[in-house]
Amino acid sequence: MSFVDSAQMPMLGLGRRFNPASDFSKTAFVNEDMALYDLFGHHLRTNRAIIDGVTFTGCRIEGPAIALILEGTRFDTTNFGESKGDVANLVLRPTGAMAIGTIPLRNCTFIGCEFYMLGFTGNESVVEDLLMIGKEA
Amino acid sequence: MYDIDKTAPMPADLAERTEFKGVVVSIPALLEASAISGKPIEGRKFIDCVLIGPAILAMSEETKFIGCQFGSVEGDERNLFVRPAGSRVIGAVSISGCHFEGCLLNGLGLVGDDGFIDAFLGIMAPKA
Repeated sequence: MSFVDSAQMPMLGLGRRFNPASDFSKTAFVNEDMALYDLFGHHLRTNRAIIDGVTFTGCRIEGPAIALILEGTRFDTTNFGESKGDVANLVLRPTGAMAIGTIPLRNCTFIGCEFYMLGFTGNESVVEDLLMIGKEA
Repeated sequence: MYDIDKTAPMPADLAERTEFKGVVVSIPALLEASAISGKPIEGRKFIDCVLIGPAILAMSEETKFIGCQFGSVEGDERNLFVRPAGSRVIGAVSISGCHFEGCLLNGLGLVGDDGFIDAFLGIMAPKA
């Protein structure tokens, strides 16, 4: 039984209504939506400090939060969200070797997803890749 | 100054409360309460609190930190800071005009330009 009436949920840019994820222990989400912090909170409660090896297909991932992009994380046909006219507004450069306060994503795959109010950081290679979003021929 | 052993659990009235004293405050939970209520995290006072992330905080000129500690910095205080690549910052938590005194901030970073970061590092580790 669900107390959520899907017909009352808002439409997303993904062309369907908001569908909140409920089981954060999964390693593959399809057409499910979540705040990145809620997923990270589940990982922390199960003694995992990194979101590792999770695949998201057709999902909406919400902030506000800053995602730390680590090795093996891939984006395919994904909408990074409103950038206020400049994709650089979504990007942050770490000052030290770590980035306290960010949510680390390793070996994660995003396919056909959309992000909302998320910023991104990583090493300089990641930053340069992010700054190229929308600028490729 | 905060005392871990005497810090009370997070209050339920996060959205409305403008002054927090001696309590735990999850910044993501405060953010969610703020979003639901439409009341921004602005001009609020945190005294002797334990604040937990994860979040990157965006300060304003009116934001004050007095006698606060930033928890583990993994050996390098620069790990607390990120610099914006653009002229705006999306994904950070605005704490405009907030006042933090005697607090512990755990799992929380700050965003700012090089001048801000240098100034903040100078405050954190004053030269002899």
